[in-house]
Amino acid sequence: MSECRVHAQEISDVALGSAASPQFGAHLETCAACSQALESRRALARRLGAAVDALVRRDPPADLAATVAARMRTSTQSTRRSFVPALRAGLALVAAVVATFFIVRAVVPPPTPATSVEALDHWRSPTASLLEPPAGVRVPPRGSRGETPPSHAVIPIGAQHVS
Amino acid sequence: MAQSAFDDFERLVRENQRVVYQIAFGMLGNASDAQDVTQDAFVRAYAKRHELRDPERFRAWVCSIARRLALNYRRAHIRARNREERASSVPAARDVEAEAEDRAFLQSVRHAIDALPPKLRETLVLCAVEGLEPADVATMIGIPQGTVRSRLHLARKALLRALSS
Repeated sequence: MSECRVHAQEISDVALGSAASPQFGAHLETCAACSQALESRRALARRLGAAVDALVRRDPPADLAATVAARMRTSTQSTRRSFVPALRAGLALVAAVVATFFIVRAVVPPPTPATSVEALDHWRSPTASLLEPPAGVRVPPRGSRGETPPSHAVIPIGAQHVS
Repeated sequence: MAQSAFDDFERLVRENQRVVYQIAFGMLGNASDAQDVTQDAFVRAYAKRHELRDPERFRAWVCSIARRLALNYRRAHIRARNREERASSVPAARDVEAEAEDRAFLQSVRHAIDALPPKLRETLVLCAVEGLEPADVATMIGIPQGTVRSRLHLARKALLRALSS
């Protein structure tokens, strides 16, 4: 009987198709109780296999494919439906930006070139006042006493080499 | 062109609806939920059909989508669902007494399956789906084929132990 307990765990494995160990095989030949337990466990395993199949292998509803096709059509149309308004809104936005640009340009004309040139004539550098002589000091015009022109004076190119 | 692609996909739906539905039903145990998941799996596959590089692998691909959706659905809904339907459609019984006995047995098998660890339960159910071989299940779950076989054996053994006690 104690030997039956030793092999009790193996009964399920053998019932499910595993090979019995030599010890268990020898025990089965001499133990009617274990042989009977193995047979009933095998029957249960067969019934169990059929039950699992019965619980899983169901026929799908007859209208399943048609329902899926309808949903596929709906999803395609809804994608198109959501894409078209977005495209329209984008185009409208671009058109509005372009129109605004031309309207602003028409209302506020760009500065003319003549005005720009006049502005340059009147423009004075912020440091121009530093170059003017102080009050009361008379500065002779440059080159009037035969002195050499300052180093920064502009000399035409090639004039220094003419003797 | 678009209509042709639609027709081709509809043909794929008809060819694979059985296996996808059985995966969903086996994992959820409820016809209504299984139908929802099957529809979602095909609609999702249709939306992402350009991602499938090898058309020959469509079945494995859509089965994987259905498996993932069923797992998510189970996590989200199954506990709140009444599962009376699970044992309601027993195969044709010989008489009332045998039918009642079959129904009770199926009910107890279903409960035993539900009590299995998730990995064993998933492997058992997927291996029971018509047309799915252990190699297909291994690819779908992403485990070696030997692991599928050992999990299947452990699951059956656990069921035997639960039902014989």
